[in-house]
Amino acid sequence: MSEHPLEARLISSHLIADLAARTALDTPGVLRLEPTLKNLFTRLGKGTIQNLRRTDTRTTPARHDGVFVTVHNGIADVQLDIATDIAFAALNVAQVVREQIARTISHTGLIPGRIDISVLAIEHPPTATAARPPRPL
Amino acid sequence: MAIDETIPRLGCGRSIDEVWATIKQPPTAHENGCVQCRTARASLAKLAEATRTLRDNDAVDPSLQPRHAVKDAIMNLARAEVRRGSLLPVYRAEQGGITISEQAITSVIWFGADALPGVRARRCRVHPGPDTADAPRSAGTSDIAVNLRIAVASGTDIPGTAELLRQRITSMITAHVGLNAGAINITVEDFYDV
Repeated sequence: MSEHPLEARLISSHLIADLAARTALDTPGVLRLEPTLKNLFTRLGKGTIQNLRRTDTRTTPARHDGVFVTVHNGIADVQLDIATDIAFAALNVAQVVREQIARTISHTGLIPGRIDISVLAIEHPPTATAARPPRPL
Repeated sequence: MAIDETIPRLGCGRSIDEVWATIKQPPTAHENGCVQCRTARASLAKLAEATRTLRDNDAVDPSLQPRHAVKDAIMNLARAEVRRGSLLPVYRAEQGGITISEQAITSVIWFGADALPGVRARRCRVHPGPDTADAPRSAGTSDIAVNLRIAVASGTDIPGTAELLRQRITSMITAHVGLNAGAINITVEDFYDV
């Protein structure tokens, strides 16, 4: 077995974005991912460009609500925007999310680069009667 | 100087890109005297005009206008980002940092202040602590300064209430944000009738 089971080029930034999103949402204290204008414009711009010509998604940034991922030279950079539960210390939650995402990226064979976390809201969780929306895969 | 053979060049040695870059400006002395440059400018001027016409048409073409849902999504996010205020850096490292929005912290402060009888929180601003604003910080060591304006119920013991409020804000910032509160400046700017 090779010491490098996965070539970096086989792991797309979309996969890293999905993994980062799921990892964050599975972390206690994270209520949701927060969409930003950057995410929206990335999605709009990417869709427009892909309509015009085929693009190489291995080098283009991937967008997921609240997640912005760039993969270059086998290194994955992640920007994550989250809302945290007021019952938790937001800074501690963000630290745990950073560590978990770094670990998750390592498992894919890529090298974790910069992992920036922004806590955009600190709120009470939704009431028990309000159903939590399904987590995106 | 090496010349890139892949770039089309005029007989005078200038690239067509150089002529295009200054197409909106009056011709230079060289361009006035150079036949190749004059010819290129005349051709490129037609291209520039055609480009401008296409651009203007696109701007008013109904089929190229964004849908209302897209406009609404953009405006909703833009308003949310304005409300969030600035992002305060609370942890910095080579592997990435952590920022917390001013709105996230003020919402915790408002929640704590409004729970105190006789106090209604009004404007609140949060700033990085003056001693640590530009220095690298580690988790749990960041200080923030708070400027809070409140209204109090008539007959309230203002010094006692302010001290109680200060303690409450300090404990809430520690528990819910994970930061240490430095200076907490409280301004009583109004009274209200109970």
